[in-house]
Amino acid sequence: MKKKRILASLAATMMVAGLLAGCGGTSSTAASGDGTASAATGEAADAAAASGDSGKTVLNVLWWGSQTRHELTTAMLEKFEELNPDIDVVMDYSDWGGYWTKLPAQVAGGQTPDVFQMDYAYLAQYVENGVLADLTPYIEDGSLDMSNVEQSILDSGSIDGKTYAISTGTNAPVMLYRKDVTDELGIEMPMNPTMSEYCEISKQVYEATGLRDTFVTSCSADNLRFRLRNYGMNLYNEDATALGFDDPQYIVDMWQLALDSQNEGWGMKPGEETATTAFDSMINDSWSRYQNSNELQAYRDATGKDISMVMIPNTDDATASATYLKPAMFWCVGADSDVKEAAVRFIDFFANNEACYDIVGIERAVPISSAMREYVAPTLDEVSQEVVEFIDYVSQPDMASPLMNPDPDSHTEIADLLGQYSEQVRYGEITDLATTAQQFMDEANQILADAAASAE
Amino acid sequence: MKKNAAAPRKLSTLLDRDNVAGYVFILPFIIGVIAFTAIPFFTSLYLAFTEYNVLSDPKWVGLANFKEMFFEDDLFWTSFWVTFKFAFIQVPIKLTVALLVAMVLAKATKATSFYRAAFYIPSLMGGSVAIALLWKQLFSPRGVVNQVLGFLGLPDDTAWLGNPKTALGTLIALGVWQFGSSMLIFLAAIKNIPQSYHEAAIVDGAGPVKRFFSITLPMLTPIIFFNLINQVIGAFQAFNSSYLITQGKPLNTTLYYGVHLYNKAFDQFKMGYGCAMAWFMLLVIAFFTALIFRSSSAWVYYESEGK
Amino acid sequence: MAINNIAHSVSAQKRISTVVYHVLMVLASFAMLYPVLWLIASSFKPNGDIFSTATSLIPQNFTLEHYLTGWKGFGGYSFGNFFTNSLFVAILSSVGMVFSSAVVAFGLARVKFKGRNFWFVLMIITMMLPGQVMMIPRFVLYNAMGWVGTYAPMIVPNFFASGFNIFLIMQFIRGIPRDMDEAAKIDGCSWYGVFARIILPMIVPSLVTVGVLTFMASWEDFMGALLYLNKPAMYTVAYALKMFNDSSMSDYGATFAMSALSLVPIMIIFFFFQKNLVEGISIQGLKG
Repeated sequence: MKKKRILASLAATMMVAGLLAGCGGTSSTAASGDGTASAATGEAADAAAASGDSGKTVLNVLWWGSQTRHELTTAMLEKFEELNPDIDVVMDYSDWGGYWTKLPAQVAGGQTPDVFQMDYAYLAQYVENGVLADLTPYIEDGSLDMSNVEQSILDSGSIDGKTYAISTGTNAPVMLYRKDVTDELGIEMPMNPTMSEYCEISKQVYEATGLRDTFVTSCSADNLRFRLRNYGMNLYNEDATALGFDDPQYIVDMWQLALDSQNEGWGMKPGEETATTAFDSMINDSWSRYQNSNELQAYRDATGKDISMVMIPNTDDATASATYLKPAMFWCVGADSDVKEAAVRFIDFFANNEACYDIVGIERAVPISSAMREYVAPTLDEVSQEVVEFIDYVSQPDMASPLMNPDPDSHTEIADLLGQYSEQVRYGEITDLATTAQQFMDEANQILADAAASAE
Repeated sequence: MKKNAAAPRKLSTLLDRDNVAGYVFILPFIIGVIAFTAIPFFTSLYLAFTEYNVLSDPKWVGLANFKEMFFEDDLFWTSFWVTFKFAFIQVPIKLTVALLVAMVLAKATKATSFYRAAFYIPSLMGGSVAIALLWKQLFSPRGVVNQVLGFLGLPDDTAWLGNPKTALGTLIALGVWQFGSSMLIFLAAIKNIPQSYHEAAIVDGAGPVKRFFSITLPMLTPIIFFNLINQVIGAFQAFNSSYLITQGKPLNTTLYYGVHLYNKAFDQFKMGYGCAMAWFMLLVIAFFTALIFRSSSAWVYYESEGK
Repeated sequence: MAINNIAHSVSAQKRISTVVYHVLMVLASFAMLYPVLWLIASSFKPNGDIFSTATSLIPQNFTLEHYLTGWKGFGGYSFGNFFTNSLFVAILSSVGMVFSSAVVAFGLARVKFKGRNFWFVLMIITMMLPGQVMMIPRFVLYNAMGWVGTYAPMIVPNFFASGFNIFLIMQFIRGIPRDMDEAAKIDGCSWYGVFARIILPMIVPSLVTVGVLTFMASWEDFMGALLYLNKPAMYTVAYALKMFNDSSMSDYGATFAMSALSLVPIMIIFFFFQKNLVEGISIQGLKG
């Protein structure tokens, strides 16, 4: 875990000594023994000094989000400080896009925060590179109380049997749709639609209103993943050394449906979206949209329309559900953190403390602890209650398919590659779907094999 | 020229020697380069020969990144040509517009100061979220541009940003529309031409057109030269408009080199590859900059050197 | 040059061309100003209306809500706070940039010292490497210097000039005849005197340009704030503006409202600048 960072030491050794002297940090830490460590300590010391109380443990917390989350989290952390007078929280936050530049830079500079938010898509990456602390010992000794949390939720933040990340709340991919439109047309949207039911409704809506579908035409990696889940498979195999399927027909079916919908008019043709954001897409272009369950409120607010949600459509011969419960985001502890005990105390507070949920509600999705879920439900407003009910509905036996391993590092590259081919298919540049699907799979398998080889 | 060898060895004299004074003047730059630029600059060169995902230490891989770039990554060449096209169409149009508008607005009146502000404001909006949304809005199939075209009786159903034939052109239009900074620099340069030159020419009976070609244009060449170099470098490094508006779509027709580099370095965690791309681009830019510098002796006129 | 000598124009032809000129300019101005008008109009529309009535510049349901929620900022830090921070960074940056670049530009443009070409070429090369790949190494460097968590990485480098601005001012200096500084040298003026008394007053327009452009760049720079600032109290406007939108929550109204407000300081600077530009130079012309 204790990595000697070439870059940091390169910079540090090339620095004029006088500049470093200004930082005043001399005490060695659990981190590496080069110049960065002393600078990092200097930083922490500065922060402590700034708080005016050097006896306290300084806990650096970093997250991404928007105005609402910043407000609520600040209040929640102040409450945490109040309950833990020996801890002084230093907060820092950013928007989603900036976060994935900010966090890597801090890691590269040996400045990893003590506690920070993590996304499912990046989890494996950060674990493999030794950035995250193993939280299993804290769960075992009870300082991180997970007794009210289902094993499957803990597993979602675990790799190779070790828990590195604790989910902040449970989410599900959903199909948002314009209830005002379907109501007006007298269409009843099934809670768990099949693909042909969904397509049939899409056609009716298109004929009546001109609003099109953007789900079957998106042909993204997520889209393919839903299709594979319907047959109990995932995009990747168990150890992510190859794709999790070997029949190109799944991709061909996805593309063919998109092309059919485009040709029949009810599917959005590429480049013809008039929308500038996902929100006005739900006003001007489309009547439905694949999103996450916690986004219902945002869509209602931004569109001013009556938006509701159902499960992701399943293929007609599906053997399993396309929908799955997933962690909305995680809390993690930096592997090099000097204050892991305080960090764990915070995560425990977030998972189990009523005072926390009095403030944040379900802003980071539906609480993972069953006790907290029960506690928070009656306090919520109407939309939030709808979200909790939806998660409860999907949580029923056999409703959702199990969560699978986090995506490997190369997922972005493979998703980009699929996107490239899908775009060409949709623009009619490629007509031999079977050959192209096979070509994509060969290239994707090559990327995965190369990544596995270089990880050796 | 000026030899101070015979002068007494006073500090002030020493400091005034060309070889000393020169370095005193450029001292800030030297310190800046050593302290802030040199290390990141050479680190990025080193990283070009490594596999580096930012989270772990870089691994030396020799020329592997360059091999992948030139022989395996199709999008590398796609993005290279997109950027080329972008640079060679946008730069001349943008500079011509900036120069013409600056000429028209050179004279200071109440009206022109309003027009100047109006023409400069789009550049203030830079590459913000707001501008990206607006541009999509303007050029969407039901957007304002198509409404205006429909009003004029022209075809009004083009999906400007979604059609592979028009997308790059639309982004070039955005770039040209933000000609404010170049205009500002031209305005300052026009104002720097001593009024006496024009007065003398008027006495000699030269009309506005003749004065433009015999006084204004030659006197502006150093600034045209600057703007040209600056815009060429800027165009090769273009990033914002594609990243915010089209993400390289449709069919990679707007995939700038900078966007492809960013995707590789930050989305796919291949910082080493990104650095290799950056250094290749540096060589390409250096080549074109050198060409422009070479040509400059033929068309750039320096009042201080040209007589 | 159509507006030359408006006062003296007597012929009808000239009057018509003046009218045509103004009509064209007003139309062009409207086209150029459209985005700002759109931004301002949108900032007064309720969130549900912004995109459904996007092509209309007149809000149907006028609201000030976005300015109120936007100004509130995050976690107890209002936009007033962020504006102060941005002004602090942008003003210091521009001042530092103008002085350092002017000095360096003079040295490179006028003094014939050994190694001048080398430094000139080096300066041009520093303009060529894309910033994205320098970002991480730079962060590591500033971190080693103990500068992360301070404004130093966003301000201090500006005191050591930049290739772009040096080159710009150089081009202005090279446009000034040498007779005056040569005469001054013969009269016993040092290089420093030549710079301060002769060249500096003549390059005011370029200095103001550099000042405005640096102010603007600094004002809009969110990357610096993202990487180097780590306390909400220190955030700048450009950075704070990003935080109204997230992958799951978006408040475009507040983004537009605060974006519109954030244009105000740059516009003030611009108007100040163009007044300065106009007056400064005509005096120079007379002296010359």
